[in-house]
Amino acid sequence: MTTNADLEAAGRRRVRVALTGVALRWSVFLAAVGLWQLVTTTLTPEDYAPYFPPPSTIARTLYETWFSGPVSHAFLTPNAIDHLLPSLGRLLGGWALAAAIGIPVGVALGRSRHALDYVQPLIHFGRSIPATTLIPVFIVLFKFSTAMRVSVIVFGVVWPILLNAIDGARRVEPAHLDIARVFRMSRPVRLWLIVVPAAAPRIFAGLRISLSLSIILMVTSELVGATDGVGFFLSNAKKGFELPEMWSAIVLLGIVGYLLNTALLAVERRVLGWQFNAEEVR
Amino acid sequence: MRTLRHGFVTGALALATLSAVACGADGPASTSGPERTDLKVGVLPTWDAAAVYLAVDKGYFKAEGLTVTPVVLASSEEAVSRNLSGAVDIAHDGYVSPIMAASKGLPLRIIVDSARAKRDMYVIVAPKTSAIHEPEDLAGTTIGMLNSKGLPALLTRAALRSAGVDTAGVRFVDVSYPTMGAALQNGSVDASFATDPFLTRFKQTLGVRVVLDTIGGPTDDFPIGCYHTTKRFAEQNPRTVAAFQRAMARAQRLAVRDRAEVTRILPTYISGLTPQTADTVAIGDFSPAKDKRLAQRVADFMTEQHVLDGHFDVSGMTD
Repeated sequence: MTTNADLEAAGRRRVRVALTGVALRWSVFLAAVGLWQLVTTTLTPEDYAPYFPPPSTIARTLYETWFSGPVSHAFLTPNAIDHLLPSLGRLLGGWALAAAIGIPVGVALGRSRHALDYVQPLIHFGRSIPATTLIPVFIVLFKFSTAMRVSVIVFGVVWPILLNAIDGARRVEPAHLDIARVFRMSRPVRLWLIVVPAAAPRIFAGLRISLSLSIILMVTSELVGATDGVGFFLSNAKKGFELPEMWSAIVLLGIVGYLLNTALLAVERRVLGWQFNAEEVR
Repeated sequence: MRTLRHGFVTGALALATLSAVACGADGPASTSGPERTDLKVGVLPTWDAAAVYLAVDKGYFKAEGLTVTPVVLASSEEAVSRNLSGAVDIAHDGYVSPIMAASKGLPLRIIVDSARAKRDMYVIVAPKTSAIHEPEDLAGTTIGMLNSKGLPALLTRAALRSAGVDTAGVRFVDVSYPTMGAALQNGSVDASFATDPFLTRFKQTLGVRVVLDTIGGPTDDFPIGCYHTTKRFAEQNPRTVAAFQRAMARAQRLAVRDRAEVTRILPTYISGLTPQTADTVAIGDFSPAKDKRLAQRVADFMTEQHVLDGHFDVSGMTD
C-alpha cells in the first residue's frame, strides 16, 4: 500500500514540476511580450509609431487576417488559404526533398572514407554558396514556378542535412560493427540496425537546423515574380504601408517555425526515445 | 506644344517671383538663415533627381546657406522609411508611396513637386520573338515590373483599360531589372514595364519592341516625382524647407531650359549610364512650381484603381 501511495505522490510531484517548468518558460515569453507592448505604446517616437504597432494590435490583425475563417476551413481565412498553404507546401516539400537527398547520400558518404575524401571539397564549396544568389539561375531553369522556389529551398538546406548525416554515420562504435560481423549480419541489416540508429541523433540535428533555414528561403524565394505565398504577402504589405498586416505575417512565420520545430522534436523524442533514456541513465 | 510650355514656365516664373516677394515681406524670421544647414537628401536614381545634383553642382544650395549631401535610395518604401527615421531629412520619391503612407497615418509633407511623365518614357516591351504586337495582345499575359503595387502597375492598368484590354486576366509580378532580361528571354514574363536606362539596354541587348505606351490619355502629364519630408521636420525647420524649395526651383528651371545640363549630370548618379546614352534617355517635364493639385491627382487616380479605400484628401500633406 505504501509503495502505491509513494508512487502516486511521486507522480503528482513530477506533474507539478513539469507544470512549473512550462509556467516558468512561458512567463519569460509573456514578460517579453509585455515589455514589447510597453515600449511600443510609450517609447516609440510619433513619427514612426505606425512602423511599430503594439503586440495587441498585431495579435488582432493576425487573427483577422489569417485565422478568423469558418470552422469548415479550419478557421483559415481566404487570405491564409491563398498565401499560407502554398508557402507551407513549398516549405515542407523542399525540406522533405532535401532530407530525401541528404540523408541517404550523407550516410553512404559517412561510411566510405575514400568517397568522402573525394567529394568533401565539393560539399564545402557548395554549402558556402548562399542559395539566394542562385535565384536568377533557378529562374532561368524553372521560370517563376513552384519548382524554382522549391529548388532554392532544397539547395539551401540540403547541406546541413548532408553534413550532419555524414558526421553521424562516421560515429558508429567500431565495437558494434564488430559484433554485427560476428553475427554475420548482411549489409542492409547492419545499416538499418547499427549505422542508422547511431547516426540518427545527428540526422535529427541536421533536420532541425534546415527546418528554420527552409522558412527563411521560402520567404526569400517568394519575393521574386510571385503571385502567392507569405513572402509575397509580406512584401506587398510593406509596399502598401499596411504595417500591422506586415507584422502579422512576421509573427505568423515565427509561429510556423515554432510549431514545426515542436512537432519535429516530438517525432525525435519518439524515434530516439531509447537514446534519451540512455542519456538519463548516464 | 513648345509655346504652351514656354507660357507655363513664364507664368510659373512670375508666380515664383511673386511668392519670393511675399516671403520677403514676411518679416525678420525669413531673413535669418535656415535652422539646419547640413541636409541629407535621399534620391531615387531616376532622371528627375537631376535637379538635386544640378543644385549641388551649380551652388544653388550654397547660395541658400545649405550643404546638401545626396544619398541614393533603392526603392520608394525605403525613401519613406528612411525619411521617417531621420536617416535622410528630405527624400525624392514617387507620389504613390508617400500618399499611401500618409493614408495609413505616417506624417509626411510634400514640399517640392519634381516632375511629370511624357510619352515614350514608361512603356511595356515584349521580346522580338513574342506574339505580342498590339496592346490587345497583352490580355491574359504576365507583365514584370519593379513594383507591382506602385506607379508602374497603376499606369499600366490605366493604359490597358483605355486600350480596351480586360485587365482582370493580366498578372503583374515583381521582378527587379537585373533579373528582367532573363525573365523576358525564358518566358517567365510575357512583357515588361521599362524605363530608361533599362529601356535602352533592353532594346540594345534583347531587341525588345514597345507594345504599349503607358503615358497618354488619362495618364498624360502624370505626376511622377516629388520631394517629401516629415511633418515634424517641416514644422521645426520652416526656413530650411523654404531655402530648399527656392534652390530646387532654380535647379528645375535650369533643367527645363537646358537639356544639355541634365544630360551632363545624369551619368554622375545613375549607375550604368554612359555619357553617350545619357543624351537619348527619355526625360519628362520638370515641374516649374509647387502645385498641390498634382498630389491630389495621383491620390484620386489611386482611389479610382482601388489602391486607396475611398477619397483621400492630400491637403494635410501639401499645405
